[in-house]
Parts: sequence; C-alpha cells; structure tokens
Amino acid sequence: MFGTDICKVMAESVWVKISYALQLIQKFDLNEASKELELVTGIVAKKIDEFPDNYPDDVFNDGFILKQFVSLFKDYVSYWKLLVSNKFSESWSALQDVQDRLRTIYRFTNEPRPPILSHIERQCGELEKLYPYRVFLSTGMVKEEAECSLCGKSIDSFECEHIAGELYRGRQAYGVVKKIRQLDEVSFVLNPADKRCTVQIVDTSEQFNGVAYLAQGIRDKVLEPLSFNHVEFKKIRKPNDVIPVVDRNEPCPCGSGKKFKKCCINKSYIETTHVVIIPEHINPANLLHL
Amino acid sequence: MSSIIYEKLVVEMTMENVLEPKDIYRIEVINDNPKLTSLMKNNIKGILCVPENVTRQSQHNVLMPQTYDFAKWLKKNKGDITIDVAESEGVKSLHSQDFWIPIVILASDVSVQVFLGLVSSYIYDRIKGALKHDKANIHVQVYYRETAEEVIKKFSYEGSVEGFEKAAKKFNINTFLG
Repeated sequence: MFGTDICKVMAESVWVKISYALQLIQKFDLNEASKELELVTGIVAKKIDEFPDNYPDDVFNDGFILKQFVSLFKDYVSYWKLLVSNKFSESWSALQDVQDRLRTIYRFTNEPRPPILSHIERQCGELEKLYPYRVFLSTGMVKEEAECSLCGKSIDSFECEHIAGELYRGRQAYGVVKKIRQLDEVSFVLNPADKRCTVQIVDTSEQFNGVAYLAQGIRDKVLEPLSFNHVEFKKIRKPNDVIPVVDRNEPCPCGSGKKFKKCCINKSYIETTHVVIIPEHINPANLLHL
Repeated sequence: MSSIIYEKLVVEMTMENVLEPKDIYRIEVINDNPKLTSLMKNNIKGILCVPENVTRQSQHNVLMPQTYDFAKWLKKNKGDITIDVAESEGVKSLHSQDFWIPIVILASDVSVQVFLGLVSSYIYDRIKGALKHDKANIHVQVYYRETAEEVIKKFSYEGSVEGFEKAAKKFNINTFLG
C-alpha cells in the first residue's frame, strides 16, 4: 500500500497497534479501543508533521494515506460507540465518515490492500440497509468564486494548476466556495454527494428498529462488531392484532353482519418485513495481513 | 432486463437508443441555433467547453459542475489535445455523486470517438475511489460538425458508467457503418 520505505516502516508499527485495537473491539471494549486509536492517530500525525522539508513528494503523499488509514479505524470505533449508545441519527453520519475515509484510501492506493478494508466496505454497505434513509437532500447552486485550498487562486480557472481532490505533497486540493451567485434549488435525490443531508428522524422512532436490534445484540455481547456480516430481509405473515380470530362461520368481528369467511378472513394475518442479521466469525489478525 | 424509455424530442431526425434501464443516448441534428453556428465558424481548435446558454435557449450562462476538473485533467494527462473554456457567469454546483461532463463543442481535429474515449479514461480515473455500493451516473453533451452532411449534430448520454461504455461503442459502430 505504501511505496516509500519511510512510510512502510511507520506502517509496520502502526499495524501492531491497530491489530490490538481490533482485538479490543471484538472483546466489546470500545472505549479502550477508542483510546488506543486516539493515541496512535496523534503519534502518526506528529511524526508526519515533523517530516523534514527535503523529503520527496511521495513520502508526504504516503504520510497522508497513513493518516487516513489510522483515522479510518478511529472513525470505525466511533461509529460502533454511537450505535450502542442508541444515537442512531448521529451514527449514520459517523458511518458516512468511515466510507469517506475508505474512498480517500482507495483513490490514492493500489491493490493489494489489507482485507480489512474490503471487509469494512462490505459492512458499511450492509449497515446502510438497516437505516431508514432512502432519499436525501441536495442543493443546486451557481458558485461565482471558489478558492483553491492550496494556492488561493480560483480553482475554476487555468490560473490555478491544482485539481480538486488530488494530492500535492501530502495535502489534498479542494475549492472553498467564497461567493454563491444564486441558490437554485434544494432537491430530494437518490445519489447525493453527501448522504449526511437527510430529513432528521428521532432516535426513538420505530424506523430505527433494525439498527436498535443490532445495537442490542452488541450490548448483550452476542455479536462482535467486526463479525457483523450482512442483513437479510424476509417477508413473514403474523396474526393481525386488530382482527380477533373467530370461527369461519361466525359473524365477522368488524360488525358488517356478514360471516367471517365472507368478510375479514383475509385480513386476519398481515405481511411484515423481518430483519435477519447474519454474523461471520472473524479473526482480526487475518484481516490485516497483505 | 432492459425497459424501454421513450421521451418526446423536439428536434428533427432523432435517433434514440435504449441500452439499460434509464441509460439513454441520442444523436440529434441541431437546427436554428445561431450562437452555436457562429461559435463553430470561429475556427475553434480541439475541445471548447461552453456554458449552458450557448447550446440551449437557456437564461443560464453557467458551466457544468466538472468543467474545470475535466479540463485540467485533460491538460495534465493528454497534453497534445487543446481544451479551452468559454466565458461564463459562474459554475453550477450540484451536490450529486454524478459526473457532469462539460458541454463541449468539438473542432474538426477532435472526433467524437476520441472525445468519448477521453471521457471514459477520465471517469475510470475518478471512480477509482468509489465503493462497490456507490452508484454514479454520467451526463455528457457533445456538439460536432458532421463534415459529410455539413450539419451540426449533438451526441448526448445520461445513465450509468457501464451504459456509457456501451453507448460509446455503439456510436463508433454506427459511425463506421455510416
């Protein structure tokens, strides 16, 4: 994953720390894992910030990726911590943070990558299915001035040589919108750039029943976070509480005067969606090797 | 399974092809667009990215979201191809995961086939960071002069990344067969 010797050596010691944090996650000790990763993130950031100026661009770019890699695990633990605290709405945003880290790592690295990345990627896709968010809010506007984060010139001009999103000596270029000419719309969309823009739902809403069930499983220590594999949605029939079951030939309880078999018999059962959470036993050590 | 999508088009001689659900590509003949005709007569070179109101009777004199990203990428990776951006009053900013390729006019030295190949390479480069469950569509509009018929035509595509590859291939075969 890293092309430069300096970052390869740094990554080896980081690997050991991350492996330990993953074991803590599997033992349900999310607070300890979080502390461990906070510490590693700080150490890595300090070392990279102290890179001497004479290092080539590649070392700085590798350093940026290493920072993203460590932060990915920090965000991953934050996600599970929010989930088990029943902060479902906030946990959705944390899930997006994890995925943004993955996208950044993928963009600047080539295969082979540690299998933990594709494992977390698959988990994120499956976890999203448990949330009620299907449509998102997205703004459409005309920007008049967007300043490059690196050179300060307009990123929408050839005067600025930077391309938004690309790495330049360990720093990612992006445009800072300084002036909006007009706001055209706020739309409901299926594929937004930022899935955090949702209609807010309170954490106690029944729309979060799926994630609440998963959170309970983790709190009860019956499912380790890394062992969550996928979800299956099944249609099941269950008795309809509103329609009392009576004999076929008796008068229908709805009061229509008809026999039950001629009236509400087909409403005595309702179809509902049943969520099945499928685990898979995981050994964290196997997910970190290259 | 593909389903057919029909859209009413208000231009002459349309050819519409449906590849996958919601993947649509079209080739249209453009008449009565003096702005476009005058721009094409101005001896442009290579690729010219233009704002919306040049190609439609639109009030908006703004560029598509990825105009400069695409133009700078092209300058960096395909230095032999000339690309320029026409004057505008701003750039559209849509918070969508889609790729909004700039609306372009092609000079005689760049064929549609070459341009579509460049778009493919750009998209390939940009989706490198995408996750497996990310879904992005592409929006492409290209104006070019068909020298044999001396008319201005427009190739447009809206749909998935996979569908775009098929549309580009289909365009090449149709052009080859005349």
